Amino acid sequence: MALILYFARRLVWAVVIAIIAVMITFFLIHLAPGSPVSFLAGDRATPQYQALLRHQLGLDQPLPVQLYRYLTRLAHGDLGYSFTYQAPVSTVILSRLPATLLLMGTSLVLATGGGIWIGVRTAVGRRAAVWNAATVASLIGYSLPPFWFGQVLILVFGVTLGWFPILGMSSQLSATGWTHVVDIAWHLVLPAVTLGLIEMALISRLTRSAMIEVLDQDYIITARGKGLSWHRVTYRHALRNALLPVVTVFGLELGWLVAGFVVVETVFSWPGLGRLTFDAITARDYPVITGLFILVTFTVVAANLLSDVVYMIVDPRIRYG
Amino acid sequence: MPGECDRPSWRLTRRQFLRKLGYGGVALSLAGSLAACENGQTLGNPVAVTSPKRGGTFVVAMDADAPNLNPMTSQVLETFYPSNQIFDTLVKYDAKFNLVPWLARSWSVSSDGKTFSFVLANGVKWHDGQPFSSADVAYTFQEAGPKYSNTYTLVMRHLESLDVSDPGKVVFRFSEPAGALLAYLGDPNFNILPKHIYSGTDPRTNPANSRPVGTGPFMFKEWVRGDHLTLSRNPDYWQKNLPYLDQVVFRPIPNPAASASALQQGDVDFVLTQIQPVDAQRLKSDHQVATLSPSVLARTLDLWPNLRKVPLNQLKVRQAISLAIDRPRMVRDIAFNQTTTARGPIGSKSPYFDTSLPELKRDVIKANQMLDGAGLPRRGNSRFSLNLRVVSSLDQFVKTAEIVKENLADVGIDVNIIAAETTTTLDAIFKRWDFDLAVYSIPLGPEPSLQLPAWLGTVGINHAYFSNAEGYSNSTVDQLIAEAQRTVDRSARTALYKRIQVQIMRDLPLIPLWEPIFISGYRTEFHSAFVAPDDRYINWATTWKSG
Repeated sequence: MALILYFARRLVWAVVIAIIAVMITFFLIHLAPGSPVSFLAGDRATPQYQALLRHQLGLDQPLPVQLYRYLTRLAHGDLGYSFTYQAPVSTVILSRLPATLLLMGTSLVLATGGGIWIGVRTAVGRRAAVWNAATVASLIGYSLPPFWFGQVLILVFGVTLGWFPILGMSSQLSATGWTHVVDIAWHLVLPAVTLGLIEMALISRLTRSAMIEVLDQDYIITARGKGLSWHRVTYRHALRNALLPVVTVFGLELGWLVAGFVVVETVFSWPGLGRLTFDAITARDYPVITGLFILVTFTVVAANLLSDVVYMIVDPRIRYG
Repeated sequence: MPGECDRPSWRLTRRQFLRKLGYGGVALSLAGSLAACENGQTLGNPVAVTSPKRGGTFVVAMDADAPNLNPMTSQVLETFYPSNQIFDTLVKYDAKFNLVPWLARSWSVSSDGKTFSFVLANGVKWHDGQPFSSADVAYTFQEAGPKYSNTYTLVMRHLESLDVSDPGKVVFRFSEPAGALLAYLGDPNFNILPKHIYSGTDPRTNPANSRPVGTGPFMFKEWVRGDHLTLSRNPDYWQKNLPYLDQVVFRPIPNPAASASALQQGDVDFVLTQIQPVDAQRLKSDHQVATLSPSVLARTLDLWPNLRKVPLNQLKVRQAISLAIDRPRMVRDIAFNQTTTARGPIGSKSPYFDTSLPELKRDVIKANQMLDGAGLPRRGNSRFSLNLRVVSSLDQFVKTAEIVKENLADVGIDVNIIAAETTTTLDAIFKRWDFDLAVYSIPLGPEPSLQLPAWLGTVGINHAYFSNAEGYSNSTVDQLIAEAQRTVDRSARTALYKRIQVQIMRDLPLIPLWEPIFISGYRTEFHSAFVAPDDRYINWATTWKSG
């Protein structure tokens, strides 16, 4: 019961935070210099046409009126109409969502799986040269700027070696079924590795330091003393506790991932939300930008809720009241 | 390097081409290859010319995805490229900007330049099978145009009536002479829209903007936003045997270096205007790729002084700045000598360019003397400092700004470059007039008279985007522009433009630097790949693939 109440409270807060975030975003975007008209009208635009456009987009109204209109629409679940795409914002965002989810899912699986495994091994095998090297590598990995790392991967594996395609999500446009899946997987490799390796470096470093701390604790010595296998001690006893900080940071990182997507999707011409964000900001497509911010806000809030749940599963001592 | 222009078979086609011109007919595909040789720099390997073949997929790289496919409500090139294939205009232009009959098979203009009659092509059908008629033309120009088309507000302000009583004929009547009409009727913004789809709806939100129905050579097939847009051959196209290609696929590639690599690898067949000069240099050695950069939009890259600011309000200071600039270095270092220096506001590829304008040479000593004479002595190393605004995403502009900074340092002017993203910079320049200098480029084509008032006329001092931000006002220039707008005779207009250019160079409201270059490239197994005077008008109805 206390648990349900806790989540209900969190949920209410999440909604309040989201509404505040929408309003702040709305004002920030509108206060930023530049107007969508400068992008939409083209540089042969006559003053008459610019005025016409401003009126059609509702930009000739005072800002509070625009906000009121937007919020009323939003209350009806309507995210508005994109200035540039001339289509509903929800349609525009949903059409780009699968590409980003695919890239995000793949790189997250790669990052968490690989990161935790490397983190554990580097913590346990502190004295082995290989794992020391891995520690250094992960430090370098986390410091890599994604746009640079992505370009290097393109140059080496795409242009020079020609192993992987460097553009978009597919090359065989008419392919169906299995060929289509293979084609997309092929295109996915470089962008997923770019994002995944960088995140993996972070997770492995976190896991490593948490593991080192846990491995020195008394209950681990006890477990070893009982004669439990190395595997059982490391993964069942130590890792479980060491994962707590990892989960926290992971939840926080989800929001930051969006920033990574903007860069990586632009480098690889990946047709996802990151590039949509970039294009929308360039064009000052207010409805699309606000829609994307709402989506990001909800993702972050949901990720935080989710990490709370994971906390409880990982550590039964945690109780919410 | 052997160009396509040198081979014997070329001379034959050229003769044929000239003969056809003599008969009044226009062979579009031939005109295209002519342009490739005379207008741009075709560097491809000689390919044996045979008659055009059917078939093939043509993959086109653009810098961004098309926002939507309505060529009237959207004003960006990424919309025009695909919609030029899906829709048709009344007329088109060959590579030299000569008129080519299209949906309008013939026309006549009254002697006062106020009445234009067009005879429409027969048997034209929309992609959904509905017949095309003059009612569609009326919808496009009378209902949609005034509300949604920028080119309409530019050219058709004085449209009085549109007579479509005959389904095969259209008569435009203007209250003022519309000398520039034919130069704009082929603009992508004037692609004819289907009345039966758009009538009674809001054209900005009509779902057809994502799934258009046109009369053009290619039909909409599939669009995965951000990834690819596929058009397929229109088997019932009203021009017999056209188009030759089976499919045209558009792919957005935001990274210019990546698009050049993709062209070389054969992943794409055509890259639209975004090849960087440095990549074009590299592509020159690749015989499977040809590059070219035609443009009638006649841009020059200019340095804008804000004429409200001291000391830029002094003509002497502007002249000194102009003298301090090393233009050949810009052409060499930024564009690898693939373009030319600017001598006036209108680019040299425009038919209205005044060839008698002198080359603007660098003379640092004289510039220093002029600044001394203007009462602006050096204190230490510097006389005064200026900020310079430039759009950070436009590589050629930023590099130009950097050379300007170095050049002006030599005459004791400190330049502080403020490079910011597009909208921010445009806002500062046009809305707030918050700049001393700016590096910017004005499109003054195809007919300068229509764009000139906004950019350099007194009426253009209005805080609108793309306007006279410098604050230049000269009643002589205003009058000459107004006269050019009324003049139907082209040679009379040319004379007026010459006087305008001379006056502008006397006043220096802008300091011309060099002609920016927008390089396109294509794989040489494709022929007639660029049959247009500018990428804005590009159409692939007659493009074909060999081998």
